[in-house]
Amino acid sequence: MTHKCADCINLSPRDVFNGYCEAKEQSVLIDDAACPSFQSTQKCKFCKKYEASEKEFLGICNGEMVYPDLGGCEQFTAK
Amino acid sequence: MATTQDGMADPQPSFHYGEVPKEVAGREVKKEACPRAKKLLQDYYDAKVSLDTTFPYWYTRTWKEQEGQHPLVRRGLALKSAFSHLEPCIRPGELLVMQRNKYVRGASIVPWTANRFPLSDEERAKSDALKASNMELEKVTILAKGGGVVSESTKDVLSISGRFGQRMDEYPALLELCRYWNNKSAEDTCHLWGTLHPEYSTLVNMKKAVLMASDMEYGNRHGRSVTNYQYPMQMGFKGMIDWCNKQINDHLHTGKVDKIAFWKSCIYAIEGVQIWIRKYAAKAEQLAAKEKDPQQKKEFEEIAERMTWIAENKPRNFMDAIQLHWTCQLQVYNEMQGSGFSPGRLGQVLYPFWKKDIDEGRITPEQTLEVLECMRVKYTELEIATCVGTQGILAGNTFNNICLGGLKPDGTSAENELEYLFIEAAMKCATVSPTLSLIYDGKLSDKFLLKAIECNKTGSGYPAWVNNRVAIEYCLKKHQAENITVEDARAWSIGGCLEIQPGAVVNGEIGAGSYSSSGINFINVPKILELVLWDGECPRTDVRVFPPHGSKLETFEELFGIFKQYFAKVTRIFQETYNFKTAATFELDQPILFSALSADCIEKGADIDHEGSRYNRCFTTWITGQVNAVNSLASIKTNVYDKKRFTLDQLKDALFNNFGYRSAVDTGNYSMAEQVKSKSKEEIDEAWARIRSNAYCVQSRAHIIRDLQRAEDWDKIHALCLRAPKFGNDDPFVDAIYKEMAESWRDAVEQTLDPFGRPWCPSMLSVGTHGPLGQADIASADGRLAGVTLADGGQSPYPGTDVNGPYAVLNSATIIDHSDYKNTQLNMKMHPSAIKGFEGSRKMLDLIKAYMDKGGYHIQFNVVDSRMLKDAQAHPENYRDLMVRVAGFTHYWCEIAKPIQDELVARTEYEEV
Repeated sequence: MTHKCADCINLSPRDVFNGYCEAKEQSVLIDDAACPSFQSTQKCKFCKKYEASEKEFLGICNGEMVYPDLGGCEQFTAK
Repeated sequence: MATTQDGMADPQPSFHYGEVPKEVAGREVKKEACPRAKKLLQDYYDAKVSLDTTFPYWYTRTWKEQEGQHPLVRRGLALKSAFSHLEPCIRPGELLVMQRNKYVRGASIVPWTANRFPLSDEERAKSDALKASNMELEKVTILAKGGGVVSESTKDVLSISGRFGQRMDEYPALLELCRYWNNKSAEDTCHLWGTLHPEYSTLVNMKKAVLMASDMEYGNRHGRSVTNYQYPMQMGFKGMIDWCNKQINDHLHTGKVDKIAFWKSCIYAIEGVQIWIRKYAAKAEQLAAKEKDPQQKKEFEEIAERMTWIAENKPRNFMDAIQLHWTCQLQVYNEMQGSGFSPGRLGQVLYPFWKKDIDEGRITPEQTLEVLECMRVKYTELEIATCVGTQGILAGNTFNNICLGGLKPDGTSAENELEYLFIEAAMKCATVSPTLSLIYDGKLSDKFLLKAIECNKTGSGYPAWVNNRVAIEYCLKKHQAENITVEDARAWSIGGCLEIQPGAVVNGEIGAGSYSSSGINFINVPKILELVLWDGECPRTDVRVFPPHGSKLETFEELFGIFKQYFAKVTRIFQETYNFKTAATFELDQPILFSALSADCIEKGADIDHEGSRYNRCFTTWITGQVNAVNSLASIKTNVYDKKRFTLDQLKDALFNNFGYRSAVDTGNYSMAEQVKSKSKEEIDEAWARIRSNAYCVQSRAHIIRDLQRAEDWDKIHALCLRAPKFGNDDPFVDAIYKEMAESWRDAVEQTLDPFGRPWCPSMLSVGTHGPLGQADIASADGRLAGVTLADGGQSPYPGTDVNGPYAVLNSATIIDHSDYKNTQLNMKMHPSAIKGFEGSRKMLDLIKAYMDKGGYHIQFNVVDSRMLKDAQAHPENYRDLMVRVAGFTHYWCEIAKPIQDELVARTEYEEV
């Protein structure tokens, strides 16, 4: 998987296009390919419990609908 | 109306009173933001309006899990889940932290309230077909495209409502959430409950004819109110939870389950907010740990400590207090879809904390200014996600109003040193939010008033000036049945743009505790006159709204009588059906956190939708375009009935054919200053020349001659309509029509009772509705052309029609008793040279005092050279930070839609006072 800045723990999002990289201390496009200092955020798509569904951009976790970029879950377990 | 000799609209771009200076003038007073605020403001300018799905996702998931639970507890748990899952974001340089979600200009869809607008047009159309929906309004609504607006979709980002950027990879989840709320949301249940009213089908037609701007019951039900900060300021969040627990224990024996559920719901929701705050503390700690710059590291550490403290406790100092107030604002904006949760008398609420810090040397005025400037950036970042129809009303603003001055509950002047700094910060860091309003009272010092004038001269459009006497009279009259005290009336403040909300003294301090100004979002008054002339039918859409009245309209009294009947009928149907519809939402999306803050709700054990607030007479009906309707009535009386210059049928023919002009919607020019004829003079001359040279066959010739003669008739009728008396000139003839219309409508509004059993409240301001409603109207008998933006505000003359000077405007505007209305609104545009220097300041202050003495409630100013606005239209890239006053709010020029821009350019510019 090619990681994007949007999935990096160092990104402080500004909007749906741009963000601020706390590591590089500069603005980045969130869809840019990640740099070597990439560390993944705790999004569903990086969680062990996440299962992709047949529908694009939708997944399942313990029978509940989730989406790959959903964050903030306290039961996150890294893959 | 400025007209040329042949009676045509003068093609100059704007209208003037006095001689226009040769050079384009900038604003006299210019100040600069502090470096910290400037940097944060640049982040704001660079940011696009963005939607985050986190809040609606966790809310909906928990709501589903809690099916069967008491509705209030279910909502409290859903709110707790949603708040506790929000991701914290802190930007370097921030002194105040927290934002609605992870994005700088972030908003969230609230699908339990409005779930249809994020769906595809096709999917939405199916559900909207039979509803009293906003579909017709949305067809004529023109939105802004500049600044941070995401008006077009890209590969990765979808534009929703022409404003909000939504990540494509989150959109399928958002759709699933919206579909879950089908037939459960406020939007859908409002429709179902609304159908209980026997005249619901008439309401459907009223909406199809665009007799109203947009549905408030699900688009923007709560707001235009004042947030009360006194409970968290006096006891902290832990204290509020303890209070709720005590109430539960004290009332277990009463059998009042709903009260217990309310307190429990408050506890859950507050706990969610506490978790959210602690996440910010943790984030700040994490940033501090890796920060190398010692100053920034120290600031992160202070933020971490402050957030940890305020999650539980009452503030210890000014910084705690201002951060806590901001947290309260955000929790209110996040819990519901609404606008105008105003901070009210914030300078007076924070003053005791600030004064103690100043006296004890913990803060300096310079440091205070820096924080206040940062606070302004925070407020400006606020966004709310709504449908296109509601966007047309709000024009992108969120209406956070800070009131300065006025009186303390004991009747002494309330101005304080911190409020001077509020004004100074607003001059240095000029942003659109929070706006400022100065509560004018004779007890305020001249120094304070002149400081406010200095701020007006920056051209920011604030402070607006509001009359303390009128507002107190309003509170005492309209809230008399609720036993309002003089102290609470003196503590009044503005909710949203200008709506008067009674105050609520809490343990001796100024607080707030009144229901939202919720209700009928701007009745299209000129459309009512169209219905009268077209016998109950809308001439633009051919929708029959009412059965034919059958009157031949042989006298003006007959016509005006039917107009007043229709106005009352439209008002009644809107209000009665709103009662049905809004009641559907009372058990669904109650404002829990706003209620917990609001004075008396925890005491009573009821949210504001169940009359928990101290004052509850707030259901409001607003109107737009009444000045155009009054000018049209004056024109009809003069031209058709008194002078018999043309018949009503001839007038209708001219109106229907737009006096021979192209529609503004076709040309894209929305003021009377720049209109285009269907046929140019050259084309007409050529047609006559061909007729004279017998170039046509007999039949065609007769047909063409008839058309040309009709067009000549329209020209003559148009000229007479433009020359008819206009409101705003101290003309007793037209002012009397205004007064009669306003008072009969006021009485009609108050005849309907709201869901709490209290009379509805009449209100006059336009916000951004004079744009889309004008686009939905055909030409009017005042000479206004089809699709042209209507008059703004409630008492503002139509652009170019006020030719007798500013004091004549004031006389016309005060023809009614302003204390009978929840608010009134007068806008004036002044050239910077008209109020230049100290003498100019005094002249401006004299003008304001004269208006207040005459009993005017509100006046606000654009101090700008219209040529600068024209240049900004042509070169928006040079004017990212240019702000203008619209109608109750200030906004960035580049984020205002063209119909409103054109109207702003056209407003009469006063070159002298």
